[in-house]
Amino acid sequence: MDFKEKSISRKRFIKKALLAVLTIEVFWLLGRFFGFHKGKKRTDKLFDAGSIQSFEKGKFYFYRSQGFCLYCLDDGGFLAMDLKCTHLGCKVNFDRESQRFICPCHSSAFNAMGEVLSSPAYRPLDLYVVMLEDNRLKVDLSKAVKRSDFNIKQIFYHS
Amino acid sequence: MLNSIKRFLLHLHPPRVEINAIKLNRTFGLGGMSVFLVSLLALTGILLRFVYVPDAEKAYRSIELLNHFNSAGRLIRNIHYWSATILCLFSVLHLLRVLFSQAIYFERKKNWYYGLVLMFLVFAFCFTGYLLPWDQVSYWAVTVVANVLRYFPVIGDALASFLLDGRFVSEHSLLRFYHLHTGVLPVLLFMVLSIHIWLVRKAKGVAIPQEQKGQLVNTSPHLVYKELVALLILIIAITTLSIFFNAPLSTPANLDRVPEIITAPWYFAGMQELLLHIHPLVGGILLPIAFLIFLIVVPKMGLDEVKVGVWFNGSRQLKKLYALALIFSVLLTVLLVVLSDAIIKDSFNVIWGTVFMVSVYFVTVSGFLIFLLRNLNRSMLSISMIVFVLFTGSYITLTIIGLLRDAQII
Ligand code: HEM
Ligand code: FES
Repeated sequence: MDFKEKSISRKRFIKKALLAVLTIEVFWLLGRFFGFHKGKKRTDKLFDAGSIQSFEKGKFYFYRSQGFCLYCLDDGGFLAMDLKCTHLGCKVNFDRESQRFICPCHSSAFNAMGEVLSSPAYRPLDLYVVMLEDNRLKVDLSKAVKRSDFNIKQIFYHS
Repeated sequence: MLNSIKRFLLHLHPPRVEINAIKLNRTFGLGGMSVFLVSLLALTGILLRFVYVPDAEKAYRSIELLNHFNSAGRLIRNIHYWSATILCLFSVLHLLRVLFSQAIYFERKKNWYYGLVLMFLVFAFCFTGYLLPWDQVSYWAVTVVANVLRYFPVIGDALASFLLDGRFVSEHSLLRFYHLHTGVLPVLLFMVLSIHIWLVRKAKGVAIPQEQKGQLVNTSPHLVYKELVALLILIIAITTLSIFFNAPLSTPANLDRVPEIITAPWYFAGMQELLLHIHPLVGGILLPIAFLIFLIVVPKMGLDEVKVGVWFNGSRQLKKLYALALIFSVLLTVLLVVLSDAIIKDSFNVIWGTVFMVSVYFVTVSGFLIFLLRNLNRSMLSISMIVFVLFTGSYITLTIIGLLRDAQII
Protein backbone atom coordinates (compact mmCIF):
# COMPACT_ATOMS: atom_id res chain seq x y z
CA MET A 1 0.00 0.00 0.00
CA ASP A 2 2.68 2.34 1.07
CA PHE A 3 4.75 1.36 -1.91
CA LYS A 4 1.89 1.85 -4.34
CA GLU A 5 1.15 5.34 -3.12
CA LYS A 6 4.79 6.26 -3.45
CA SER A 7 5.01 4.98 -6.99
CA ILE A 8 1.96 6.97 -8.06
CA SER A 9 3.34 10.12 -6.59
CA ARG A 10 6.64 9.52 -8.34
CA LYS A 11 4.81 9.09 -11.62
CA ARG A 12 2.89 12.26 -10.97
CA PHE A 13 6.08 14.05 -10.10
CA ILE A 14 7.67 13.07 -13.38
CA LYS A 15 4.54 14.04 -15.28
CA LYS A 16 4.43 17.43 -13.61
CA ALA A 17 8.13 18.02 -14.13
CA LEU A 18 7.76 17.21 -17.81
CA LEU A 19 4.77 19.52 -18.04
CA ALA A 20 6.73 22.29 -16.37
CA VAL A 21 9.66 21.85 -18.76
CA LEU A 22 7.26 21.85 -21.67
CA THR A 23 5.57 25.03 -20.47
CA ILE A 24 8.88 26.81 -20.10
CA GLU A 25 9.87 25.58 -23.54
CA VAL A 26 6.62 26.84 -25.10
CA PHE A 27 6.91 30.22 -23.41
CA TRP A 28 10.51 30.53 -24.54
CA LEU A 29 9.49 29.72 -28.12
CA LEU A 30 6.61 32.20 -27.98
CA GLY A 31 8.97 34.81 -26.57
CA ARG A 32 11.41 34.22 -29.40
CA PHE A 33 8.58 34.29 -31.90
CA PHE A 34 7.12 37.55 -30.71
CA GLY A 35 10.52 39.14 -30.48
CA PHE A 36 10.73 39.69 -26.71
CA HIS A 37 14.37 38.70 -26.97
CA LYS A 38 17.00 41.24 -27.88
CA GLY A 39 17.07 41.53 -31.65
CA LYS A 40 20.26 41.35 -33.65
CA LYS A 41 21.60 44.84 -34.03
CA ARG A 42 22.20 45.99 -37.56
CA THR A 43 25.43 47.64 -36.63
CA ASP A 44 26.95 48.80 -33.37
CA LYS A 45 29.25 51.33 -34.92
CA LEU A 46 28.57 54.85 -35.98
CA PHE A 47 28.87 55.29 -39.70
CA ASP A 48 31.53 57.80 -40.70
CA ALA A 49 30.01 59.93 -43.47
CA GLY A 50 33.07 62.11 -44.01
CA SER A 51 34.68 65.33 -42.90
CA ILE A 52 32.21 68.12 -42.25
CA GLN A 53 34.04 70.44 -44.62
CA SER A 54 33.46 68.10 -47.52
CA PHE A 55 29.69 68.73 -47.71
CA GLU A 56 28.25 71.41 -49.97
CA LYS A 57 25.15 73.29 -48.94
CA GLY A 58 21.93 72.37 -50.69
CA LYS A 59 23.17 68.97 -51.83
CA PHE A 60 22.10 65.38 -51.27
CA TYR A 61 24.66 62.70 -50.54
CA PHE A 62 23.68 59.08 -51.08
CA TYR A 63 25.06 56.11 -49.19
CA ARG A 64 23.19 53.44 -51.13
CA SER A 65 24.81 50.41 -49.59
CA GLN A 66 24.04 51.75 -46.11
CA GLY A 67 20.52 52.54 -47.30
CA PHE A 68 20.41 56.23 -46.33
CA CYS A 69 21.01 59.70 -47.66
CA LEU A 70 22.37 62.84 -46.06
CA TYR A 71 20.82 66.16 -46.99
CA CYS A 72 23.01 69.19 -46.38
CA LEU A 73 20.50 72.03 -46.12
CA ASP A 74 21.06 75.54 -47.48
CA ASP A 75 21.58 76.83 -43.96
CA GLY A 76 24.23 74.22 -43.20
CA GLY A 77 22.01 71.84 -41.23
CA PHE A 78 22.02 68.09 -41.81
CA LEU A 79 19.21 65.59 -42.16
CA ALA A 80 19.97 61.86 -42.47
CA MET A 81 17.07 59.91 -43.95
CA ASP A 82 16.44 56.21 -44.46
CA LEU A 83 15.84 55.38 -48.12
CA LYS A 84 13.36 52.65 -47.19
CA CYS A 85 9.88 53.64 -48.28
CA THR A 86 7.56 53.85 -45.28
CA HIS A 87 4.75 52.22 -47.25
CA LEU A 88 5.97 48.70 -47.94
CA GLY A 89 9.74 48.81 -47.75
CA CYS A 90 11.01 49.39 -51.29
CA LYS A 91 14.01 51.71 -51.70
CA VAL A 92 13.06 55.14 -52.95
CA ASN A 93 14.82 56.84 -55.86
CA PHE A 94 15.68 60.53 -55.95
CA ASP A 95 14.53 62.75 -58.75
CA ARG A 96 17.04 65.63 -58.86
CA GLU A 97 14.92 67.83 -61.07
CA SER A 98 11.89 67.97 -58.82
CA GLN A 99 13.91 67.36 -55.64
CA ARG A 100 11.59 64.50 -54.68
CA PHE A 101 12.02 60.98 -53.51
CA ILE A 102 9.86 58.67 -55.59
CA CYS A 103 9.10 55.06 -54.80
CA PRO A 104 8.95 52.76 -57.85
CA CYS A 105 6.66 50.24 -56.13
CA HIS A 106 3.44 52.21 -55.60
CA SER A 107 4.63 55.69 -56.60
CA SER A 108 4.59 57.37 -53.21
CA ALA A 109 6.44 60.70 -53.34
CA PHE A 110 8.34 62.54 -50.59
CA ASN A 111 9.83 66.04 -50.57
CA ALA A 112 13.42 66.95 -49.70
CA MET A 113 12.67 66.77 -45.97
CA GLY A 114 11.12 63.35 -46.43
CA GLU A 115 7.52 64.50 -45.97
CA VAL A 116 4.80 62.69 -47.92
CA LEU A 117 3.64 64.47 -51.06
CA SER A 118 1.65 61.66 -52.54
CA SER A 119 0.12 58.52 -50.99
CA PRO A 120 -0.09 55.52 -50.38
CA ALA A 121 2.74 56.21 -47.91
CA TYR A 122 1.58 58.34 -45.01
CA ARG A 123 4.62 58.54 -42.72
CA PRO A 124 7.66 60.67 -43.65
CA LEU A 125 10.91 58.83 -44.36
CA ASP A 126 12.61 57.59 -41.18
CA LEU A 127 15.54 59.47 -39.73
CA TYR A 128 18.98 58.58 -38.39
CA VAL A 129 20.66 60.51 -35.63
CA VAL A 130 23.59 62.63 -36.86
CA MET A 131 26.46 63.76 -34.64
CA LEU A 132 29.86 65.38 -34.90
CA GLU A 133 33.00 63.65 -33.68
CA ASP A 134 36.51 65.01 -34.35
CA ASN A 135 35.14 67.23 -37.11
CA ARG A 136 33.63 64.23 -38.88
CA LEU A 137 29.92 63.61 -39.39
CA LYS A 138 28.83 60.34 -37.83
CA VAL A 139 25.46 58.72 -38.46
CA ASP A 140 24.00 56.31 -35.94
CA LEU A 141 22.68 53.50 -38.15
CA SER A 142 21.73 51.24 -35.25
CA LYS A 143 18.21 52.62 -35.14
CA ALA A 144 15.92 54.27 -37.69
CA VAL A 145 13.81 56.88 -35.92
CA LYS A 146 10.16 56.96 -36.93
CA ARG A 147 8.42 60.33 -37.10
CA SER A 148 4.90 61.42 -37.86
CA ASP A 149 5.83 64.79 -39.33
CA PHE A 150 8.73 67.08 -39.99
CA ASN A 151 9.95 69.64 -37.48
CA ILE A 152 13.03 71.80 -37.18
CA LYS A 153 14.43 69.85 -34.23
CA GLN A 154 15.09 66.91 -36.52
CA ILE A 155 17.82 68.87 -38.32
CA PHE A 156 21.34 68.61 -36.95
CA TYR A 157 23.24 71.88 -36.60
CA HIS A 158 26.82 72.23 -35.47
CA SER A 159 27.83 75.60 -34.19
CA MET B 1 1.58 1.73 -71.28
CA LEU B 2 -1.88 2.95 -72.24
CA ASN B 3 -3.31 0.07 -70.34
CA SER B 4 -1.44 1.00 -67.19
CA ILE B 5 -2.57 4.62 -67.48
CA LYS B 6 -6.10 3.33 -67.83
CA ARG B 7 -5.67 1.12 -64.79
CA PHE B 8 -4.30 4.04 -62.79
CA LEU B 9 -7.20 6.31 -63.72
CA LEU B 10 -9.63 3.52 -62.91
CA HIS B 11 -8.04 3.32 -59.53
CA LEU B 12 -9.08 6.90 -58.80
CA HIS B 13 -12.60 6.48 -60.12
CA PRO B 14 -15.43 4.10 -59.30
CA PRO B 15 -16.01 1.44 -62.01
CA ARG B 16 -19.24 3.02 -63.14
CA VAL B 17 -20.17 6.73 -63.24
CA GLU B 18 -23.25 8.85 -63.84
CA ILE B 19 -23.44 9.87 -67.48
CA ASN B 20 -24.46 13.41 -66.51
CA ALA B 21 -21.51 13.74 -64.15
CA ILE B 22 -18.99 13.40 -66.94
CA LYS B 23 -20.50 15.90 -69.34
CA LEU B 24 -18.11 18.71 -70.11
CA ASN B 25 -20.28 21.53 -68.75
CA ARG B 26 -20.51 19.79 -65.38
CA THR B 27 -16.90 20.30 -64.25
CA PHE B 28 -15.15 21.60 -67.38
CA GLY B 29 -12.50 19.13 -66.25
CA LEU B 30 -10.96 21.88 -64.14
CA GLY B 31 -10.26 19.78 -61.05
CA GLY B 32 -8.91 16.89 -63.07
CA MET B 33 -6.66 19.11 -65.14
CA SER B 34 -5.43 20.75 -61.94
CA VAL B 35 -4.43 17.32 -60.62
CA PHE B 36 -2.48 16.74 -63.81
CA LEU B 37 -0.81 20.16 -63.51
CA VAL B 38 0.20 19.35 -59.95
CA SER B 39 1.95 16.18 -61.13
CA LEU B 40 3.62 18.04 -63.98
CA LEU B 41 4.85 20.64 -61.49
CA ALA B 42 6.20 17.93 -59.20
CA LEU B 43 8.03 16.29 -62.10
CA THR B 44 9.59 19.47 -63.51
CA GLY B 45 10.26 20.74 -59.99
CA ILE B 46 12.27 17.63 -59.18
CA LEU B 47 14.29 18.17 -62.35
CA LEU B 48 14.90 21.83 -61.55
CA ARG B 49 16.24 20.85 -58.15
CA PHE B 50 19.15 19.12 -59.88
CA VAL B 51 20.58 22.47 -60.96
CA TYR B 52 19.13 25.14 -58.72
CA VAL B 53 21.35 26.38 -55.86
CA PRO B 54 19.47 28.04 -52.95
CA ASP B 55 22.18 30.56 -52.18
CA ALA B 56 21.95 34.31 -52.66
CA GLU B 57 25.28 34.35 -54.46
CA LYS B 58 24.57 31.47 -56.80
CA ALA B 59 20.81 31.21 -57.30
CA TYR B 60 20.51 33.68 -60.15
CA ARG B 61 23.56 32.28 -61.90
CA SER B 62 22.21 28.74 -61.67
CA ILE B 63 19.01 29.78 -63.45
CA GLU B 64 21.03 31.62 -66.09
CA LEU B 65 23.21 28.59 -66.68
CA LEU B 66 20.11 26.45 -66.90
CA ASN B 67 18.67 28.82 -69.49
CA HIS B 68 21.74 28.98 -71.67
CA PHE B 69 23.81 25.87 -71.34
CA ASN B 70 21.44 23.09 -70.53
CA SER B 71 19.82 21.49 -73.55
CA ALA B 72 16.33 21.01 -72.18
CA GLY B 73 16.80 23.28 -69.17
CA ARG B 74 14.97 26.27 -70.49
CA LEU B 75 12.09 24.14 -71.68
CA ILE B 76 11.74 22.44 -68.31
CA ARG B 77 11.82 25.75 -66.49
CA ASN B 78 9.23 27.16 -68.88
CA ILE B 79 6.97 24.13 -68.41
CA HIS B 80 7.23 24.58 -64.63
CA TYR B 81 6.40 28.26 -64.98
CA TRP B 82 3.44 27.80 -67.33
CA SER B 83 1.99 24.88 -65.39
CA ALA B 84 2.09 27.01 -62.22
CA THR B 85 0.47 29.94 -63.96
CA ILE B 86 -2.28 27.78 -65.42
CA LEU B 87 -2.78 25.97 -62.11
CA CYS B 88 -3.41 29.30 -60.37
CA LEU B 89 -5.95 30.19 -63.01
CA PHE B 90 -7.62 26.77 -63.02
CA SER B 91 -7.90 26.54 -59.23
CA VAL B 92 -9.72 29.86 -59.15
CA LEU B 93 -12.00 28.80 -62.01
CA HIS B 94 -12.58 25.45 -60.29
CA LEU B 95 -13.55 27.30 -57.11
CA LEU B 96 -16.05 29.36 -59.11
CA ARG B 97 -17.34 26.19 -60.78
CA VAL B 98 -18.08 24.31 -57.54
CA LEU B 99 -19.60 27.42 -55.99
CA PHE B 100 -21.96 28.31 -58.81
CA SER B 101 -22.98 24.76 -59.59
CA GLN B 102 -24.12 24.49 -55.95
CA ALA B 103 -21.62 21.74 -55.19
CA ILE B 104 -20.43 23.01 -51.80
CA TYR B 105 -23.35 22.20 -49.54
CA PHE B 106 -24.13 19.37 -47.08
CA GLU B 107 -21.76 16.41 -47.49
CA ARG B 108 -19.56 18.52 -49.80
CA LYS B 109 -19.03 21.31 -47.28
CA LYS B 110 -16.03 19.56 -45.80
CA ASN B 111 -14.44 19.26 -49.22
CA TRP B 112 -15.00 22.95 -49.87
CA TYR B 113 -12.87 23.63 -46.77
CA TYR B 114 -10.16 21.26 -47.96
CA GLY B 115 -10.40 23.11 -51.27
CA LEU B 116 -9.79 26.42 -49.50
CA VAL B 117 -6.68 24.93 -47.92
CA LEU B 118 -5.56 23.82 -51.40
CA MET B 119 -6.13 27.33 -52.71
CA PHE B 120 -3.94 28.69 -49.92
CA LEU B 121 -1.27 26.09 -50.69
CA VAL B 122 -1.31 26.93 -54.41
CA PHE B 123 -0.79 30.62 -53.62
CA ALA B 124 1.90 29.78 -51.08
CA PHE B 125 3.67 27.75 -53.78
CA CYS B 126 3.51 30.66 -56.21
CA PHE B 127 4.74 33.13 -53.61
CA THR B 128 7.67 31.05 -52.33
CA GLY B 129 8.66 29.94 -55.82
CA TYR B 130 8.65 33.52 -56.98
CA LEU B 131 11.65 34.43 -54.80
CA LEU B 132 13.86 31.55 -55.93
CA PRO B 133 15.36 33.09 -59.12
CA TRP B 134 16.63 35.91 -56.84
CA ASP B 135 16.20 38.58 -59.48
CA GLN B 136 15.18 42.21 -58.98
CA VAL B 137 11.49 41.63 -59.58
CA SER B 138 11.23 38.69 -57.21
CA TYR B 139 13.32 40.28 -54.49
CA TRP B 140 11.23 43.44 -54.28
CA ALA B 141 7.90 41.71 -54.75
CA VAL B 142 8.63 39.47 -51.76
CA THR B 143 9.82 42.49 -49.76
CA VAL B 144 6.51 44.21 -50.42
CA VAL B 145 4.39 41.18 -49.45
CA ALA B 146 6.41 40.58 -46.28
CA ASN B 147 5.92 44.22 -45.33
CA VAL B 148 2.18 43.89 -45.80
CA LEU B 149 2.33 41.15 -43.14
CA ARG B 150 4.00 43.62 -40.78
CA TYR B 151 0.79 45.62 -40.68
CA PHE B 152 -0.96 42.67 -39.01
CA PRO B 153 -1.93 43.96 -35.55
CA VAL B 154 0.32 42.91 -32.63
CA ILE B 155 2.01 39.87 -34.19
CA GLY B 156 2.77 41.38 -37.61
CA ASP B 157 6.48 41.99 -37.04
CA ALA B 158 6.99 38.56 -35.51
CA LEU B 159 5.11 36.92 -38.38
CA ALA B 160 7.17 38.67 -41.04
CA SER B 161 10.47 38.00 -39.27
CA PHE B 162 9.47 34.37 -38.89
CA LEU B 163 8.71 34.06 -42.59
CA LEU B 164 11.87 35.86 -43.69
CA ASP B 165 14.12 34.62 -40.90
CA GLY B 166 15.21 38.18 -40.24
CA ARG B 167 14.17 41.78 -40.64
CA PHE B 168 14.48 41.92 -44.41
CA VAL B 169 14.69 39.54 -47.36
CA SER B 170 18.14 37.94 -47.17
CA GLU B 171 19.96 34.72 -47.98
CA HIS B 172 18.29 33.23 -44.89
CA SER B 173 14.89 33.98 -46.39
CA LEU B 174 15.97 32.34 -49.62
CA LEU B 175 16.87 29.12 -47.83
CA ARG B 176 13.61 29.22 -45.91
CA PHE B 177 11.54 29.81 -49.05
CA TYR B 178 13.41 27.07 -50.87
CA HIS B 179 12.67 24.58 -48.14
CA LEU B 180 9.02 25.61 -47.99
CA HIS B 181 8.67 25.45 -51.76
CA THR B 182 10.39 22.14 -52.36
CA GLY B 183 9.93 20.37 -49.03
CA VAL B 184 7.12 21.45 -46.76
CA LEU B 185 4.47 22.59 -49.23
CA PRO B 186 4.70 19.55 -51.55
CA VAL B 187 4.12 17.20 -48.60
CA LEU B 188 1.17 19.25 -47.38
CA LEU B 189 -0.28 19.53 -50.88
CA PHE B 190 0.00 15.81 -51.45
CA MET B 191 -1.82 15.04 -48.20
CA VAL B 192 -4.59 17.58 -48.64
CA LEU B 193 -5.07 16.74 -52.31
CA SER B 194 -5.43 13.03 -51.54
CA ILE B 195 -8.14 13.82 -48.98
CA HIS B 196 -9.79 16.19 -51.46
CA ILE B 197 -10.02 13.55 -54.17
CA TRP B 198 -11.12 10.88 -51.72
CA LEU B 199 -13.90 13.15 -50.42
CA VAL B 200 -15.23 13.61 -53.97
CA ARG B 201 -15.68 9.85 -54.16
CA LYS B 202 -17.11 9.70 -50.69
CA ALA B 203 -19.80 12.20 -51.73
CA LYS B 204 -20.65 9.72 -54.55
CA GLY B 205 -18.97 11.73 -57.27
CA VAL B 206 -19.47 15.27 -58.45
CA ALA B 207 -22.75 16.98 -57.69
CA ILE B 208 -25.51 16.58 -60.27
CA PRO B 209 -29.18 17.55 -60.03
CA GLN B 210 -31.44 14.93 -58.48
CA GLU B 211 -33.47 14.41 -61.67
CA GLN B 212 -30.37 13.73 -63.76
CA LYS B 213 -29.30 10.81 -61.63
CA GLY B 214 -29.60 7.14 -62.46
CA GLN B 215 -27.95 6.66 -65.86
CA LEU B 216 -24.71 4.84 -65.22
CA VAL B 217 -21.99 4.09 -67.76
CA ASN B 218 -18.67 2.30 -67.52
CA THR B 219 -15.85 4.56 -66.41
CA SER B 220 -13.67 2.95 -69.03
CA PRO B 221 -13.88 3.99 -71.82
CA HIS B 222 -16.39 6.81 -71.26
CA LEU B 223 -14.63 8.90 -68.60
CA VAL B 224 -11.09 7.65 -69.19
CA TYR B 225 -11.35 8.59 -72.85
CA LYS B 226 -12.45 12.14 -72.02
CA GLU B 227 -9.71 12.54 -69.45
CA LEU B 228 -7.04 11.43 -71.89
CA VAL B 229 -8.26 13.90 -74.49
CA ALA B 230 -8.21 16.70 -71.92
CA LEU B 231 -4.69 15.73 -70.91
CA LEU B 232 -3.53 15.71 -74.48
CA ILE B 233 -4.92 19.17 -75.15
CA LEU B 234 -3.33 20.48 -71.97
CA ILE B 235 0.05 18.95 -72.80
CA ILE B 236 -0.01 20.45 -76.28
CA ALA B 237 -1.01 23.87 -74.92
CA ILE B 238 1.67 23.93 -72.25
CA THR B 239 4.40 22.69 -74.56
CA THR B 240 3.50 25.31 -77.16
CA LEU B 241 3.48 28.09 -74.58
CA SER B 242 6.80 26.87 -73.17
CA ILE B 243 8.47 26.77 -76.56
CA PHE B 244 7.43 30.26 -77.57
CA PHE B 245 7.23 32.20 -74.29
CA ASN B 246 10.04 32.16 -71.76
CA ALA B 247 9.53 32.37 -68.03
CA PRO B 248 10.62 35.87 -66.97
CA LEU B 249 14.03 36.57 -65.48
CA SER B 250 15.11 40.13 -64.80
CA THR B 251 18.49 41.42 -63.59
CA PRO B 252 20.05 39.93 -60.42
CA ALA B 253 18.64 41.12 -57.10
CA ASN B 254 20.14 44.39 -55.93
CA LEU B 255 19.36 45.05 -52.27
CA ASP B 256 20.19 48.75 -52.53
CA ARG B 257 18.14 49.83 -55.48
CA VAL B 258 14.68 49.13 -56.90
CA PRO B 259 14.35 49.17 -60.70
CA GLU B 260 12.36 52.06 -62.15
CA ILE B 261 9.61 49.79 -63.34
CA ILE B 262 8.51 47.00 -61.09
CA THR B 263 5.34 44.96 -61.39
CA ALA B 264 3.66 42.17 -59.47
CA PRO B 265 2.86 38.84 -61.18
CA TRP B 266 -0.61 38.85 -62.72
CA TYR B 267 -2.25 36.93 -59.89
CA PHE B 268 -1.14 39.63 -57.46
CA ALA B 269 -1.91 42.54 -59.81
CA GLY B 270 -5.30 43.13 -58.17
CA MET B 271 -3.73 43.25 -54.72
CA GLN B 272 -1.03 45.63 -55.95
CA GLU B 273 -3.68 47.89 -57.43
CA LEU B 274 -5.64 47.82 -54.17
CA LEU B 275 -2.54 48.76 -52.18
CA LEU B 276 -2.04 51.81 -54.41
CA HIS B 277 -5.26 53.24 -53.08
CA ILE B 278 -5.85 52.02 -49.58
CA HIS B 279 -3.97 51.39 -46.36
CA PRO B 280 -2.14 48.02 -46.22
CA LEU B 281 -3.84 47.04 -42.96
CA VAL B 282 -7.21 47.27 -44.69
CA GLY B 283 -6.32 46.21 -48.23
CA GLY B 284 -3.73 43.59 -47.43
CA ILE B 285 -5.09 42.13 -44.20
CA LEU B 286 -8.61 43.06 -43.07
CA LEU B 287 -10.38 42.74 -46.44
CA PRO B 288 -8.74 39.37 -47.29
CA ILE B 289 -9.65 38.07 -43.82
CA ALA B 290 -13.22 39.30 -44.24
CA PHE B 291 -13.41 37.55 -47.60
CA LEU B 292 -12.01 34.36 -46.09
CA ILE B 293 -14.62 34.42 -43.30
CA PHE B 294 -17.25 34.91 -45.97
CA LEU B 295 -15.95 31.87 -47.90
CA ILE B 296 -16.11 29.85 -44.69
CA VAL B 297 -19.75 30.69 -44.00
CA VAL B 298 -20.96 30.47 -47.61
CA PRO B 299 -21.70 26.71 -47.59
CA LYS B 300 -23.81 27.18 -44.44
CA MET B 301 -26.13 29.82 -45.88
CA GLY B 302 -29.55 29.34 -47.39
CA LEU B 303 -29.49 25.56 -47.09
CA ASP B 304 -33.29 25.17 -47.41
CA GLU B 305 -33.28 26.57 -50.93
CA VAL B 306 -30.20 24.88 -52.35
CA LYS B 307 -30.75 22.76 -55.43
CA VAL B 308 -27.57 20.72 -55.32
CA GLY B 309 -25.78 20.49 -58.65
CA VAL B 310 -28.04 22.97 -60.44
CA TRP B 311 -26.04 25.72 -62.14
CA PHE B 312 -26.84 29.11 -60.56
CA ASN B 313 -29.62 27.36 -58.65
CA GLY B 314 -31.69 27.25 -61.78
CA SER B 315 -33.56 30.48 -61.96
CA ARG B 316 -33.47 32.84 -64.93
CA GLN B 317 -34.10 35.87 -62.77
CA LEU B 318 -31.21 34.93 -60.52
CA LYS B 319 -28.82 34.80 -63.45
CA LYS B 320 -29.95 38.29 -64.41
CA LEU B 321 -29.32 39.47 -60.86
CA TYR B 322 -25.80 38.03 -60.96
CA ALA B 323 -25.12 39.87 -64.19
CA LEU B 324 -26.52 43.06 -62.68
CA ALA B 325 -24.33 42.65 -59.59
CA LEU B 326 -21.28 42.08 -61.77
CA ILE B 327 -21.89 45.23 -63.82
CA PHE B 328 -22.59 47.18 -60.63
CA SER B 329 -19.35 46.09 -58.96
CA VAL B 330 -17.25 46.77 -62.06
CA LEU B 331 -18.64 50.29 -62.41
CA LEU B 332 -18.30 51.07 -58.71
CA THR B 333 -14.70 49.86 -58.64
CA VAL B 334 -13.69 51.78 -61.75
CA LEU B 335 -15.34 54.89 -60.33
CA LEU B 336 -13.46 54.62 -57.03
CA VAL B 337 -10.12 54.00 -58.74
CA VAL B 338 -10.60 57.00 -61.01
CA LEU B 339 -11.60 59.13 -58.03
CA SER B 340 -8.56 58.00 -56.08
CA ASP B 341 -6.16 58.62 -58.94
CA ALA B 342 -7.57 62.03 -59.78
CA ILE B 343 -8.17 63.58 -56.39
CA ILE B 344 -7.56 61.53 -53.31
CA LYS B 345 -3.99 60.31 -53.83
CA ASP B 346 -2.38 63.75 -53.94
CA SER B 347 -4.59 65.67 -51.57
CA PHE B 348 -5.44 63.30 -48.74
CA ASN B 349 -3.53 61.15 -46.37
CA VAL B 350 -4.05 57.48 -47.29
CA ILE B 351 -5.82 56.86 -43.98
CA TRP B 352 -8.59 59.31 -44.83
CA GLY B 353 -8.62 58.06 -48.40
CA THR B 354 -9.13 54.53 -47.12
CA VAL B 355 -11.92 55.54 -44.74
CA PHE B 356 -13.60 57.40 -47.55
CA MET B 357 -13.33 54.69 -50.19
CA VAL B 358 -14.15 51.75 -47.96
CA SER B 359 -17.22 53.50 -46.59
CA VAL B 360 -18.40 54.54 -50.04
CA TYR B 361 -17.93 50.98 -51.25
CA PHE B 362 -19.74 49.32 -48.38
CA VAL B 363 -22.54 51.85 -48.16
CA THR B 364 -23.24 51.57 -51.89
CA VAL B 365 -23.05 47.79 -51.85
CA SER B 366 -25.33 47.57 -48.82
CA GLY B 367 -27.77 49.92 -50.53
CA PHE B 368 -27.77 47.65 -53.55
CA LEU B 369 -28.41 44.57 -51.41
CA ILE B 370 -31.17 46.22 -49.38
CA PHE B 371 -32.79 47.30 -52.62
CA LEU B 372 -32.74 43.72 -53.85
CA LEU B 373 -34.08 42.35 -50.56
CA ARG B 374 -36.92 44.87 -50.41
CA ASN B 375 -38.07 44.78 -53.98
CA LEU B 376 -37.44 41.24 -55.03
CA ASN B 377 -37.76 39.41 -51.75
CA ARG B 378 -34.57 37.49 -52.37
CA SER B 379 -33.44 34.69 -50.13
CA MET B 380 -30.31 34.20 -48.04
CA LEU B 381 -28.87 31.90 -50.69
CA SER B 382 -29.05 34.40 -53.51
CA ILE B 383 -27.83 37.20 -51.23
CA SER B 384 -24.73 35.21 -50.35
CA MET B 385 -24.08 34.47 -54.02
CA ILE B 386 -24.63 38.10 -54.98
CA VAL B 387 -22.21 39.26 -52.29
CA PHE B 388 -19.70 36.83 -53.74
CA VAL B 389 -20.26 38.18 -57.25
CA LEU B 390 -19.82 41.76 -55.99
CA PHE B 391 -16.51 41.05 -54.23
CA THR B 392 -15.10 38.91 -57.01
CA GLY B 393 -16.24 41.41 -59.63
CA SER B 394 -14.39 44.18 -57.81
CA TYR B 395 -11.25 42.12 -57.41
CA ILE B 396 -11.22 41.06 -61.07
CA THR B 397 -11.72 44.69 -62.08
CA LEU B 398 -8.77 45.70 -59.91
CA THR B 399 -6.67 42.97 -61.50
CA ILE B 400 -7.50 44.22 -64.99
CA ILE B 401 -6.82 47.85 -64.05
CA GLY B 402 -3.55 46.78 -62.41
CA LEU B 403 -2.45 44.86 -65.50
CA LEU B 404 -3.34 47.80 -67.76
CA ARG B 405 -1.34 50.09 -65.47
CA ASP B 406 1.62 47.71 -65.54
CA ALA B 407 1.49 47.68 -69.33
CA GLN B 408 1.45 51.50 -69.11
CA ILE B 409 -1.78 51.71 -71.03
CA ILE B 410 -3.31 53.84 -68.27
C1 HEM C 1 -4.73 22.14 -56.27
C2 HEM C 1 -5.93 22.53 -56.53
C3 HEM C 1 -7.15 21.61 -56.68
C4 HEM C 1 -7.24 20.40 -57.27
C5 HEM C 1 -6.12 19.64 -57.96
C6 HEM C 1 -8.62 19.94 -57.15
C7 HEM C 1 -9.12 18.75 -57.66
C8 HEM C 1 -10.47 18.38 -57.67
C9 HEM C 1 -11.05 17.33 -58.44
C10 HEM C 1 -10.28 16.39 -59.36
C11 HEM C 1 -12.40 17.32 -58.21
C12 HEM C 1 -13.43 16.42 -58.92
C13 HEM C 1 -14.45 17.19 -59.74
C14 HEM C 1 -13.94 18.27 -60.65
O1 HEM C 1 -13.09 18.01 -61.50
O2 HEM C 1 -14.43 19.41 -60.51
C15 HEM C 1 -12.66 18.34 -57.23
C16 HEM C 1 -13.91 18.61 -56.69
C17 HEM C 1 -14.17 19.62 -55.76
N1 HEM C 1 -13.30 20.63 -55.40
FE1 HEM C 1 -11.35 20.74 -55.91
N2 HEM C 1 -9.33 20.88 -56.45
C18 HEM C 1 -8.48 21.92 -56.15
C19 HEM C 1 -8.81 23.09 -55.50
C20 HEM C 1 -10.06 23.37 -54.97
C21 HEM C 1 -10.45 24.64 -54.44
C22 HEM C 1 -9.56 25.88 -54.40
C23 HEM C 1 -11.76 24.51 -54.02
C24 HEM C 1 -12.63 25.54 -53.37
C25 HEM C 1 -12.33 26.19 -52.29
C26 HEM C 1 -12.18 23.16 -54.28
C27 HEM C 1 -13.43 22.62 -53.96
C28 HEM C 1 -13.95 21.46 -54.50
C29 HEM C 1 -15.27 20.94 -54.24
C30 HEM C 1 -16.33 21.56 -53.29
C31 HEM C 1 -15.40 19.79 -55.03
C32 HEM C 1 -16.64 18.89 -55.13
C33 HEM C 1 -17.40 19.30 -56.36
C34 HEM C 1 -18.54 18.35 -56.67
O3 HEM C 1 -18.75 17.41 -55.94
O4 HEM C 1 -19.20 18.61 -57.71
N3 HEM C 1 -11.13 22.49 -54.88
N4 HEM C 1 -11.47 19.01 -56.94
S1 FES D 1 6.62 50.54 -51.13
FE1 FES D 1 6.95 52.60 -51.63
S2 FES D 1 5.02 53.14 -52.34
FE2 FES D 1 4.66 51.11 -51.74
